[in-house]
Amino acid sequence: MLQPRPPTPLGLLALCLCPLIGCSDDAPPPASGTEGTTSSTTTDDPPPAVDSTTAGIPDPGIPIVPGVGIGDLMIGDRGDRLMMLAGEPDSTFRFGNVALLTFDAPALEVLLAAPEGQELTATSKVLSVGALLSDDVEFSGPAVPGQRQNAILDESGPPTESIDDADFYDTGWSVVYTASGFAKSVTVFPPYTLAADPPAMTPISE
Amino acid sequence: MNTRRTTLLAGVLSSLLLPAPTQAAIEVDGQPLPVVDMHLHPGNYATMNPNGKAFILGAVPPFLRGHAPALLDASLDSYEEHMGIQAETDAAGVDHAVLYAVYTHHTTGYFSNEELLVALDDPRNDGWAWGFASINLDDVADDPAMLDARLDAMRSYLEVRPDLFIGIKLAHAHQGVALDDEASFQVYELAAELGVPVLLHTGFSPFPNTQDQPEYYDPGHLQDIVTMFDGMNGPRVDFVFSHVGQGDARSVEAALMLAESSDNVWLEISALGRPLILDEQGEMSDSDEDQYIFVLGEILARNLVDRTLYASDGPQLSGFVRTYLGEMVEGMQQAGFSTADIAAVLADNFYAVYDRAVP
Repeated sequence: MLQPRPPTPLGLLALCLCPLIGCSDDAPPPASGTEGTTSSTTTDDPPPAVDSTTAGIPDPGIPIVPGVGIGDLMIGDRGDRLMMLAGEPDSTFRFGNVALLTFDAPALEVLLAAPEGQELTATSKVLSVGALLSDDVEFSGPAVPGQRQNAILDESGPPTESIDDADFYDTGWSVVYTASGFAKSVTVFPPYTLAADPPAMTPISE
Repeated sequence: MNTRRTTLLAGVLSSLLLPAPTQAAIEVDGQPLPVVDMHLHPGNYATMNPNGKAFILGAVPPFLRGHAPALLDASLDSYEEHMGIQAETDAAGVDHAVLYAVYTHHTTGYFSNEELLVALDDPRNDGWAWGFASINLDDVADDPAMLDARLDAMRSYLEVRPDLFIGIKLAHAHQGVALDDEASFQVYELAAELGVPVLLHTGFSPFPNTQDQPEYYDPGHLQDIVTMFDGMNGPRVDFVFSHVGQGDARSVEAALMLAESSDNVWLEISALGRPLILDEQGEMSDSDEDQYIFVLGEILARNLVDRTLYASDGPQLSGFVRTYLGEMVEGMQQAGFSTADIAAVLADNFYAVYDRAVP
């Protein structure tokens, strides 16, 4: 399903800036969907000047980094940077000051906090980023769109929480599955620590 | 009943998906009116109850589900840019907010007094919000020492920071404690001693695990307590019935009747944008009318306008604070409230009962 192909513009940018988001020795292992590919980029590597696939270097795919971002797009980025990286969205779903933007070419969806009409400006803020199933874009990470659920569970272990068709991992990522058990999207957001019971009540510190 | 409750919440959430212009000012009959939204819940995704979380996520569009931790954290944050509670109240034209500590970890989740202090003491507050302290009522029935320690802890916030903590919030149906429970009684005694009102969740809640027997939600069960603390036979406590007993026509009537008969009872009109679940006989209601239409009409008819307080029970999802305020103002106008009546409900009555709050 996920065959090697020339990287998209966002993919190339991601490869260039991989060290900024830890896509090297510390990066999560490649997902089974990208079997056979490994990250050849380290913090000392020069940015690839040419298409890495045609140069004989396996394309690791756009890195999905839990709690941080996808490719070059980081949680906390502003709308103007999103615009620079991904261009205009192909679709926008809004409610109040929240917008879910979908970008078909890089196969991403981005949750933004933004006043109406200011999605792609310096005032809006990226809250989370999702990688979507696509024939044209390849991702790498703890899970990738199109990957089987049992393969993801084998590699990453049980999720922190499961709600309906979504599994959530407290290190800052989630997977939404199709009814047939394939990853439909993989989303990254800030990590969290579940704390179901309240702490002991303490008096105010004077 | 659970299916119906889910449907109701889904309907409420669906209504939030309409585009909403921001920076609306509240203007009624050409007159700008100050607004206090006295029922807002800060929180965290990580401290939400798992079943409550699943309930909420079941009602948001499926394509947002993978983003839930980011979406809910940002929505429940007091100061998140553009969509935190302060941003939502600003966009709605709300001047002041009251944020709640809650110990409702069996149903929705918790937000401790300590966390609330951090939010209220933030430089970004700057007079925007006050808070209600709360108490964890788990396991105190057989442990008086634990209850005393928790009462002392709650008391400290109300005593040390009266500029920030202006009242107490309890949610019996969520906390699994009857309205007239002994532990609650000690909370009422503390409120009397400190001179702060107690806001009580009354009526149903759509969240799983909420107690749905009348002794947990029907303010009729507070008749004796209200009398005991009416200030004529001892110390006084002002009781604010949040949601006016919503969901069950019998508890709505009890709330209205107690407000008519006792001047220490106040009616807070959040969460009324949904139909009744049970009718006057306790049978499933077939009404599809939002409850605020009946409730606001009765408030006016029974001369209870000066005992009525505006609140939204937000933030829920972005846009809700603004949408609910618009619904209630329109509802009051349609019910026949004068502009002065509406001004009283939106802010003036709040300052009458919460005298620690200085606008």
